[in-house]
Amino acid sequence: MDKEILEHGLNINRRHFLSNLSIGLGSVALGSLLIPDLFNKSKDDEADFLPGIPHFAPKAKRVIYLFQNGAPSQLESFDYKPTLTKLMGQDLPESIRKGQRLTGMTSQQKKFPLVGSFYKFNQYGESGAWVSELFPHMAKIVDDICIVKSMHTEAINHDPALTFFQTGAQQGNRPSMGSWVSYGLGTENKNLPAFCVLLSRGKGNGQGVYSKLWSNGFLDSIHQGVQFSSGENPILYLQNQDGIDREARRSMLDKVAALNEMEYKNFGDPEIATKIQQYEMAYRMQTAVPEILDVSKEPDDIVKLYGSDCLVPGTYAANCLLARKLSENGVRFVQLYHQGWDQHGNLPNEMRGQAKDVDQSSAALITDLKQRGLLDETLVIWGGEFGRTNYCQGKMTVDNYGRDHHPRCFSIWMAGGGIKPGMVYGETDEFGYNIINNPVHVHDFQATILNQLGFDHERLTFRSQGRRFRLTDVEGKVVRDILA
Amino acid sequence: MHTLKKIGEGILTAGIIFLLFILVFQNRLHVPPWLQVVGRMHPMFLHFPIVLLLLSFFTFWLPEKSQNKEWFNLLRLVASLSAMVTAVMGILLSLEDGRSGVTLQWHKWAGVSIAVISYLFYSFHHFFSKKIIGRPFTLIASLCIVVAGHFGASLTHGENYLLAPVNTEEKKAVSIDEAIVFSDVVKPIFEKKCFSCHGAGIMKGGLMLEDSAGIEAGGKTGPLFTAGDPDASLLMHRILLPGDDKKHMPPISKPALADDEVALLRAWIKSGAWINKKLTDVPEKDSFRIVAAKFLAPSGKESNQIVYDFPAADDKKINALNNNYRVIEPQGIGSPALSVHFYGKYAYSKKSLEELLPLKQQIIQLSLARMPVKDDELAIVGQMVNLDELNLNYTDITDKGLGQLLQLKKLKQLSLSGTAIDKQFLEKIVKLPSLRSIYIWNTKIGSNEVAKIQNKFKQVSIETGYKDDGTMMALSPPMIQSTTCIFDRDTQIVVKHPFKGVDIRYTLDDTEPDSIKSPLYKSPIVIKNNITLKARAFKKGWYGSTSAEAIYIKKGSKPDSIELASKPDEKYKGPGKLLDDRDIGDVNFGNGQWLGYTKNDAVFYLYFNKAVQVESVLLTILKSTGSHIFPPSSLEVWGGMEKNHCKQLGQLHPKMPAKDEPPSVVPEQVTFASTPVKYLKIIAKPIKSLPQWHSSKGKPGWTLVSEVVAN
Repeated sequence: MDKEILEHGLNINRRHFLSNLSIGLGSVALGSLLIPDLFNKSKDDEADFLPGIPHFAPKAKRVIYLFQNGAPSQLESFDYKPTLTKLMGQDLPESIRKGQRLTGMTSQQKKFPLVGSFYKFNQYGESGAWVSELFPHMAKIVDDICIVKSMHTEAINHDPALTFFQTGAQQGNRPSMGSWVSYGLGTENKNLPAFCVLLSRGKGNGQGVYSKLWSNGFLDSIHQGVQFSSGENPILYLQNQDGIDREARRSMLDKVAALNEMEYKNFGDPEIATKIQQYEMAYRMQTAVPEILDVSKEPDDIVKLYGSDCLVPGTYAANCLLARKLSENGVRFVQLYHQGWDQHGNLPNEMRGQAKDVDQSSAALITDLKQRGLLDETLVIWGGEFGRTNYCQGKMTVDNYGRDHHPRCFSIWMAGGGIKPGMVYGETDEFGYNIINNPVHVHDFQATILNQLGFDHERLTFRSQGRRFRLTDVEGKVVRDILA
Repeated sequence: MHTLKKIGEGILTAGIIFLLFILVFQNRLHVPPWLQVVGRMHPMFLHFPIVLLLLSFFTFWLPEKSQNKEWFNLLRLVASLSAMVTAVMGILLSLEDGRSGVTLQWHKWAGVSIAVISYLFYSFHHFFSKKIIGRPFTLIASLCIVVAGHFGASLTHGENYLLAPVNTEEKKAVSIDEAIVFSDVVKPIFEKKCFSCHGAGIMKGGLMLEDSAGIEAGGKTGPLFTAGDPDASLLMHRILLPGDDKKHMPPISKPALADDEVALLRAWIKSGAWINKKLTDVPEKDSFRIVAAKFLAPSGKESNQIVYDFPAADDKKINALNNNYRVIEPQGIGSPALSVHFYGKYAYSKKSLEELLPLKQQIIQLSLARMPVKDDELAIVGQMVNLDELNLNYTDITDKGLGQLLQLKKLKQLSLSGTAIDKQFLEKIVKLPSLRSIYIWNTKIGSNEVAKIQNKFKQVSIETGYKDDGTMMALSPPMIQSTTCIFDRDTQIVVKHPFKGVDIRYTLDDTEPDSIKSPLYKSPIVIKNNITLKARAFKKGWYGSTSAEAIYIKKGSKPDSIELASKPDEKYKGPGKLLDDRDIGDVNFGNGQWLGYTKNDAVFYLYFNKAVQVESVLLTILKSTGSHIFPPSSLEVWGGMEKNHCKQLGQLHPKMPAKDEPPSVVPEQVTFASTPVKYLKIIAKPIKSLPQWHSSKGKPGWTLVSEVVAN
């Protein structure tokens, strides 16, 4: 009987509830009257900034990112660990490793013998920063740079790690850092793209770079990185074909623009407007680019500063020189990639070659920007996508060993653009395995870069597919300690 | 009665759904004025649900038997209705206020929870009538009421209102990075000097300074301020009246405002009297931000910003002057300061500089680098009195332009690298009062002169940059431009070096070129026979380069067919016609241009339909010790007129590479007495074991072959 009474009660309640709901529907309709633009994009969805104007006065106007692709070892460059030399060959204590993730390349290894740097370290400059003998030129400019020894990342393999650094996500469907900067600041020199990409190949074990790394993702395609190559035509399809002169090109562009304009009026697709702008910029680039690529007028001093490789197109040194010229001419973001830093084996030998490729010209870039009074407004970054293990991968001999991927700590440096010069930030443990002080996550690093460019990284957003995106996703804290 | 209850229930359900709806879309609601009135009734109306809800909760604590009493249900219905109405009002009010912050969030969600819980209590009263379910829930709901009430009070009376009398602890200074303009910078001053009369409790003259609503509303005399115009603002007027004036504030009997406090209030109004803005969002060079920084804990980074007291320029004017070759950018949102960059020297003219004069006050950074700027044009620059940074690198200016620059009293940074200025210029320009850094790299000013001037003017850093100190460095090798390595007829080889004034010396006999004896490259080298070209670059002040190498092989008698008698390894099979495709491959051996052998000897036959005279056979092989690729241990050439009756014509034991030898492609040639042949058989034997110095010593090596040429 109790059951029946309960059921009766429930039945009534259900009917009752449903009939009440219909009134509720009415109230929703009433409420919707209060929303004038219910089915349109609301104001709130718009980006929280005016394109081309930073949130606050920027310290850095431009960025040159010297990406060392393949992950240079921090233990042979900037993170001096004498303990590793002392304990050479001993197994990495479990108390340090704590069962953390390894790559498939060393997870099968039975032992993890610690290996110290083959190269000697010394202290340099007023900051007393430790630099290995592989980088004598960088050692000379330590007082101009800020070495961050406590970088860490989430990815353990090259492509995801590289993509994470460049786009803030490991998957590779997001805009690159340079694209975000282009989106935020717009182009400075309207005759050049805001985001340029330069590639060079080292002799060491290399890892690929792909155009997704400088993709505009969901941003307008005008923000895509433009790759300069070392061949006869540095920018593909920029030259006029034989038989087409500049006047012919001009009148052709005018006609195409008129047609595009018509199409834009019909469909309103913003990509059409972008296309018109792109054609116009390419036309102006036809005169601006050859002028910039011409290094023959550089004084002999400059050639000596960067090393004579800087005149050989496609080398890292040439790209550094070109980066300076582009940056000086108002390119917001110059992205270099130097391949060949993946030393799983034969590290001492390969790293010597890699260091020789980049040492002089990286340092030269800093000196050169400085002597033109441009270093304070140009942020230069040098570093890879992760670090390398403190233990040996594969066979270990006195003068030969390898190191596997290590995302838990690595070193990069930054210079100019309002970053404190002559500073060493962050600390790793004596084994060079974990960070013990001031960790800097990739998102923190990105937030700091945006901050120097005048952006609150939380407010530089773009709405795509129903949500707002940021370079720093939902994380990132500006590393204020390293700001000048 | 029953009908009334039905209607009540309907309104309740509708109201709750309405509440949830506006909650979801709160950011997009647009509240009309008449509804704002309803919203403003929230602070009054909220007292009803508190009492009614607590009463209705109490009924759940009565014995279970009495739970069915009709008036209990009625009480719960009315309580629930009042809670719902209050919550809706609250949301409407919050939208109007434009408030945000943690307190509001807590208050809002607690309030909405109360409305929803009380609705559930009513709708499922049978369920909640059970002691063990109902009672704990009433406690939770009561807690919500306390939370909502407390945060609500904080909203109207100010944070920490409740505990303020017992909380005597010194307030921790807020850091610049976290400070909110009104509550952390302006309000503390009001709190110290004004709240005793103009607090929420007393409100003398109708003025309340505790929250944004109060200061925006102003008092009986009128609005407190006109944002952006301190001189027309009542607040500043009263503060600045003579001390004995009756209307001077604060009154003479109370503690007066300190000078820096007055300055802060003035700057605040001038900058726009922001309320909820974060201080870090105020432009860095805004005077308010700079003054405010003194009142706050330092953020760790030192702030040495300049205050701009000039007005902003008209946006339209800026846009009109902006073009592809003259880029004008603001320093940040809300900042009046501008920076200007010129690009494209062909687009530059005196006129393009002159056109900027309407903005002469606002321009604080100007870059004319690489523009053909003449001395007289600096007169225009000289009028930009607020210039902070000026970049004249690689312009055509000389000492004559100096006078114009001396007017730039605020100039802090000047770049003159690559210009024709000399020491007189430097001596005078360093006297500019604000100048802190000057860049004179690549000018003719000598380092001694710079040192002298630097000594006298220590406040200016004179950057001379890099000077070649005579350190020797190696040149990069020359670039050999060869279209093909295997040539038919006499061919020309072009050798280039990108550096001006470099001597290229070369050899054709596989010896290292030197800087004295080896021939100097002047015009393309004509070659007739097989050669190995080695070329090095030399220049005074530099070490000679390493040598660039290229192999040129004269195409021999073309065999009519080639047969691979032993099978190459799967990894390096190459395409069928590999051995006479005229491509000798490169050190990147994974490119399909190589035949590879390790277990088998490499054996192949060359067939000629007509007999040919042969005196040498050349095989291009790869050396790459790191990849276990070595020359063959022996190379044998057999030949004859019939396939099965060949005799050995010659044999060679190629030189093995040294330990650190870089990878290279090498031709190995076996020569012998000229012999007529129709058949040639070539055997290359991979080395059986890698040498002792190799990290994989003892393992078999590889032989890689790309091309065979018989002459």
